[in-house]
Amino acid sequence: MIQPDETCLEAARRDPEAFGELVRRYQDKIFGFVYRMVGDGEEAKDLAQETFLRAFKALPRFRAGAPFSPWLYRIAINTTLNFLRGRRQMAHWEVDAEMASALPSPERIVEGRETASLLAAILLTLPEHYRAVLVLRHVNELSYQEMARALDLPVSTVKVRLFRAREMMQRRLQEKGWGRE
Amino acid sequence: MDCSTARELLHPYEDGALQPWERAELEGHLEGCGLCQRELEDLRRTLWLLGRLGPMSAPRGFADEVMARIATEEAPMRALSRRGERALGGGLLLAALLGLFLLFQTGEKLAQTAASQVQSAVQGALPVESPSPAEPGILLAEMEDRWVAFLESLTESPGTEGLGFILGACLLLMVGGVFLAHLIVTGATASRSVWLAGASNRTWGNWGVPPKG
Repeated sequence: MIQPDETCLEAARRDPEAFGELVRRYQDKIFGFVYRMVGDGEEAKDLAQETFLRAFKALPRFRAGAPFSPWLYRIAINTTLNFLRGRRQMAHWEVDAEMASALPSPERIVEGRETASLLAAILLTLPEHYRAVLVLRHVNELSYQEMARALDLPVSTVKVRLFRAREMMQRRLQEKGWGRE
Repeated sequence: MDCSTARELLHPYEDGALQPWERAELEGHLEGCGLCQRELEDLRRTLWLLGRLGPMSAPRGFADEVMARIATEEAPMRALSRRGERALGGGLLLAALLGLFLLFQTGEKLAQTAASQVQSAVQGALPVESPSPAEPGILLAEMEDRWVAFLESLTESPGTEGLGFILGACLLLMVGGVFLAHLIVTGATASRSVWLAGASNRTWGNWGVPPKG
């Protein structure tokens, strides 16, 4: 029988093995979010691990009875955005228009995994706060309310941000000939 | 409904987040607006493509690595905490010993002074011309006055013994206060401390260690 998050959290305050259960439960979602945000497997693994480590250390401060998942997402978002800001400042990594323009046209793209990786590359050309809402919605399948809690924003702001992010994504896709026929 | 409003509603429409009346209004607009219909088609294509990103799986052994990192990073903190507790305990013991030493050193002299004050009060209260004992009430009142005067002199101009006595008493009070606070704090986090203490000897069960390479 699967225990609710709250029960695992209570247990994790006394015994770290119970926290291991939460890690296993959320590892795919957190890793998926971070991977789509940074576009690199090794970095995503480090950041996702860092997310769980921070969550574990912050457990004594976690308000009992509050939902765990938005709190964990918020830690993942902050960890990832801090990392991306640092990377931008160091000018170590730039996902720019050049990357998007290097993408093949739709005629050359076959179905399946290739499509996903090319889409992911276009996603990486979007500003981070737009990328975050798109990933939370389309990869993690969070509702507007869940996204608002995770981002610590009002639902109305989330709706507007998602609207603009999709429009920008749509424009980038159209530029590559992936839009209207 | 104008096209601008309709375009904004297309997104929550596709996400299934519209109220029934908003949905009906939007669908009414779409029936008569080819431009917005094409917008909807574009949006659906984009959403379909975004849906292709799909869910992902964490690398193999991910959870084990996280738990191993937790075990590794918690261990030095536990050691640091234990060292800090030992240092605090040593400091408190020294302070308590110093406080006791000062109290004993200065307390004896102060007790002698107080005793002589009381003795002179008793003598002063005895009537010189009459061999009969003084009234007990007068004697007690005189002793009380002298005692109060002694305490006042101690607080106003304490002298070396007085200062030593006060310092000793303060040190003991401080040690008592810190000890009490420590008891309260450790009591509040007892459950966490239990597993922290136990974890140092634990092999972490079947979490194992992160796979090498």
